[in-house]
Formats: sequence, C-alpha cells, structure tokens
Amino acid sequence: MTGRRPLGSLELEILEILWQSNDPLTPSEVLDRLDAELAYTTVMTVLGRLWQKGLAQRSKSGRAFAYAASMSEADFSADRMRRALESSHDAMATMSQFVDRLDVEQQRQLRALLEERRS
Amino acid sequence: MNAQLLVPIVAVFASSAAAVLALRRLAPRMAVVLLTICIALTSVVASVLLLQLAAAGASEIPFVADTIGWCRVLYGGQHGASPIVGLIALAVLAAASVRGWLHLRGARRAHRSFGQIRGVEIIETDQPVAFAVPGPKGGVVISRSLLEQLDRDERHALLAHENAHLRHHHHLYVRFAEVCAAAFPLLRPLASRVRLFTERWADEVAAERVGSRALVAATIAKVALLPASAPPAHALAMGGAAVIERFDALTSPQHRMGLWTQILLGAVMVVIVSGAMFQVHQLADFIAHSGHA
Repeated sequence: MTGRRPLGSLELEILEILWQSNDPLTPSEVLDRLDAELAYTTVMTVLGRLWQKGLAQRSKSGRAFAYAASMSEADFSADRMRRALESSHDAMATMSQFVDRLDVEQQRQLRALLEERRS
Repeated sequence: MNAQLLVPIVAVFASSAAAVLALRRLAPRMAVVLLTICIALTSVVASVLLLQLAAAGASEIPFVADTIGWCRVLYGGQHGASPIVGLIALAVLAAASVRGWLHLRGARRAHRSFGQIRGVEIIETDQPVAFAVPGPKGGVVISRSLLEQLDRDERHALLAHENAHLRHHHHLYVRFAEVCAAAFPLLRPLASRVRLFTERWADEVAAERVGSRALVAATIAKVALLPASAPPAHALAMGGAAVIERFDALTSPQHRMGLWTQILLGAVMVVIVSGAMFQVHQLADFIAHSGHA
C-alpha cells in the first residue's frame, strides 16, 4: 500500500467496503477485504466510529458485532462543520468539490451530452 | 535591455502552453505530473530572470560596480539591463513573492477551518455538496441531502472519487499550482488545468474501484443536475465547464497516446528543461563575471 495514509482515508475505505457488501460484515470480514495490513482493533475502532456517526448500523453476530452501511439513523449532526461551510466562503473556494455548480447553459449542454451518450 | 535574456522565458512558456494542447489525450495522472513540472520550471525561469535583471540593473550603478569589482570600462552598459529595468524587475519579483505567499497563507487558513474533519462527516444542509478535506487526518464532508438522493452504487462512486483525492494527495498539486499562478498570473490557465486533471484522475481511480466508468459518469451528471435548493452563497460556478469535460471523458472510449502526442510532449519537456538550465546558466555566468574584473 501507499505508505502512511491519512486516517480519514481508512474510514472511507471501510465505508466503501460496507457499501459494496450485501450482508452485514464483522470486523474480521472487513479486515479480509481491505488491501492494507491492519490491526483487528484498528478496524474495530473505525467501525465503531462509523456506527457513532450513524453511517453504519450494527447487530450482534456471535461474539462480535456485524456492521452494515446505513443512512437511517439521521441524528448525527456536525454543527461545527455546518458553520464552517456557511461562514467561510474562502475555505469553500479552495475545496475541490465533487462537482461544481452549473449555470443554466452548462446544464443544457450536460443534458444534451447525456442524451447523446445514452443512445 | 538585452533581448537574449528573454529567450528562455518565451520558449518555456510557449512550450508549456503547447503541452496543454496535448493533454486531452493523456492519462490524467500523467497530465497532472507534467503540468506541475511545467508550472514549476516556468516559475523558476521567471524568478531567475527577474533576479538577473535586478542584479544587472544594480551592477550598472557605478557605486555597486566598484564594490563588487565589476570592470566598468569593459562592461559599461553591457550588463543586460539598465538600473530602471532592474528596479522594475525587482518590484515585480517582490510583488510575485508577496502574492504567492498571501495565497499560500489564505489556502492554509481556509483548510484549517475544516481542521477537525476526520473520516466521513455528514452535514445537515440542503445543499448537495461533497468534498475532500486534506490534512494529516483528512476526510470527506458530504451533505446528508446528497447521500439520500444517491443509490448504493452512486454513493460508492462518490466515496471512491473523494478517497482518491486523499490517497493521492491531490491537494498538494493543486495548492502548488495555485500558489505559482498567484505569483505569476500568466500561469493561471495551467493551474486551472491542474485542478481539472486532479478531478479526472480521481474519476478514473473511482471508475476502477467501482468497475465502471459509466457509473462514475452517471453519478457526476446526476449530482451536477440536482437542483440546489438555495443558490450557493459563494461563486463556484466557474467549475461548471469542468463537469462537462469530465463527463465527456468518462463516456468516450479511452485512447492511447498517439505517436505525435508523444513526440510533442517529448519536445516540450526538452525545451522547458533546457530553457530552465539556460536561464540558470545565464545567471551563474553573470555572477561569475563580477568576480573577474
């Protein structure tokens, strides 16, 4: 794997794994699917964090918990983040957003391209 | 002013521009690396040139010439720039440094306001937003309203895209390019290409992870066409064209780099590397000169 990775990137990778799987996964099953060599406890910790954030739900499976991706528990709210987002225009401008907003003309172009490629 | 001094900067800048033309056909990862090299070398050449003009201008002031031991008889008025030109060059160089530094400070400060992000953070906002926050911990911010409008596969594509930004440290390329562009505004078109190609790079990584370029393309189009329930408070609409380009690239067949593209890029690299070396050589020559009065 690529050297030292950002911690957050690990959380993402595990969430990706949960989203790909149809069944709930135990920490050791998640560990099997990761391409990185990690400690069992690390995976457990990350799964616990995802659960706390409401991004995963868990159920007892034998002696361990099994985790599945979830969007149902909508009670997690990062107030600090929302404030950062709303107050700091400069900060947002430096972020690489997944997609940038389109103006009306660009929306029309994209729709046309979408139609063209679909046919 | 000695016109010969301007040869490297013109050659390096022109070939960097030529590189941009060839980039559409290039793998995004390679495009980012090449553009970064072009930007770095152009900045070096510009800085060295300005430094040399300033030094040349200074050396024509009799007092300075005497102090550094420059032969006024042999080289009077032959140093490449008059004191006025030297002064202007010095001012331009100072302004460039200040602009670059201010930009770097601003970008750092902006990122620090997201400093607590670790892993995936869901925010409660009705805007459909998602972005990666770089840093030693790093993470991704996604709005709940966006997640709820995506199905499982589309969420996976979105996550894989943002994850690619973090894993491949895209913010370092983007930040470097934008600091150079802040210092030397001529580099702005190249810097915005760096931003585009880091997005393309992340798209291709995501496509590999989810096993479908079409899925990533569809996700981009879907998110881009979601109605924002309120207009964004900040002007980010500039990036709209990039969305179309990314969609287009993902839905077009991938082609290999043609021979002519390879030749063009090879030539570009030769020109900018030798241009930079020539520029540094000129400065070294100039400095060496002053020792041999």
